[in-house]
Amino acid sequence: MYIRGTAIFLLLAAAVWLAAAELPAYPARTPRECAASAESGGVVVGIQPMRDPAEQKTYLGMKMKDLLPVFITMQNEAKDSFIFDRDNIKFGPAETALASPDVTKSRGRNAAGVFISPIFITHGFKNQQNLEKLEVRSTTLSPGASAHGFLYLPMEKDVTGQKMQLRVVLVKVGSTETSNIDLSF
Amino acid sequence: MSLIRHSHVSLSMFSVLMLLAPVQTLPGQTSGDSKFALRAALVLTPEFCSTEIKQGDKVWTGVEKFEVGPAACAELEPALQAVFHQLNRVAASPASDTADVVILPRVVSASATRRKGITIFNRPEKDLLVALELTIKDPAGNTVWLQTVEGTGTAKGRPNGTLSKKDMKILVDAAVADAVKQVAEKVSSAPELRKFAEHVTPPKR
Repeated sequence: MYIRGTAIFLLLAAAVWLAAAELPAYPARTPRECAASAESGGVVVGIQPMRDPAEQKTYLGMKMKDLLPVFITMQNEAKDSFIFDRDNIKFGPAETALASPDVTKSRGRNAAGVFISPIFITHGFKNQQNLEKLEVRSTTLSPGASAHGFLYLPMEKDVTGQKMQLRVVLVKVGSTETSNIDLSF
Repeated sequence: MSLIRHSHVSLSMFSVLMLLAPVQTLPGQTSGDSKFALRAALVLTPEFCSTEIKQGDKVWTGVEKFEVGPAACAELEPALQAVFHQLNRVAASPASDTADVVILPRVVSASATRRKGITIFNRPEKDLLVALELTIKDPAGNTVWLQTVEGTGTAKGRPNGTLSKKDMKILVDAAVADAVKQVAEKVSSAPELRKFAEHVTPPKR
């Protein structure tokens, strides 16, 4: 009885310790150093898909199921400012019409998959917060400014291995003028 | 000793120079303060002010509710009043001629974790991360500025990791106050708004 209690305590302590461990920072890179990059109107955008599960575990704290983490980085080399709204990102197989991914809903589904047993509850909560901290956020790209972070793209099983396309829509500040930046990976 | 005397002289000269230097006002900002010379309408809809984010499940963790909206509604108005020459709180987007800019806040997400302290020995600390987005539009509806900030707060939980109502409020208020402080700082230093304010006639005092 005593041994069982000690074992449970040690298991819980290990779970809390695992949850407290900090993840290493993902190595920063410029848009042109990424696997795919494109430029429009003076803004350069680069994306780096993270397909390797070991890499996902290292930098995101979990292997992602049905989701593909994609590191996106943007650099404004123009004289104008641009609005990057994450909600305007479109994504899909290269030969079909692009759609807006329901990123939040999919991430929630994935995070829920972590909650297998109470031991991993704290770990799961921490993972969810880590993913949110690393996510790219909507922002204004002032001249000379850059922004980066992860997108968690839902991947259907039937499109695995297919060439995918991501469209970043930037809007010039104070106007309706948009630039579409298409990236394939 | 000589070094100390020299330091005193240098400091006095620096103080005199600072007093003689003219007070600079950035273009688009009113003199005497650093506020933007703009009439701003802060849109705090009833939906935004009642925003709640839920986390967890009924079986394993219990559902936690973060009342981010009420805290954000209380914090945003005074914080942005320090940034704009005139700020009116409204419940819906105003008519185009009543404001130079329309400010639209949105709660993007809120997630909490418990990660510090082993529960048997002490009360674990709980962290909350709140992502708040602020969009500023011109009267024509074009976006002039948009930014997302992440505010964090910490509170001590019960040994089982949950929070009392009082501690939950402390946690949410701290995270929201941090987010609002950050967003107000970012608004006041936004070059896009300064440029926009240059093109708008300053309001009469």
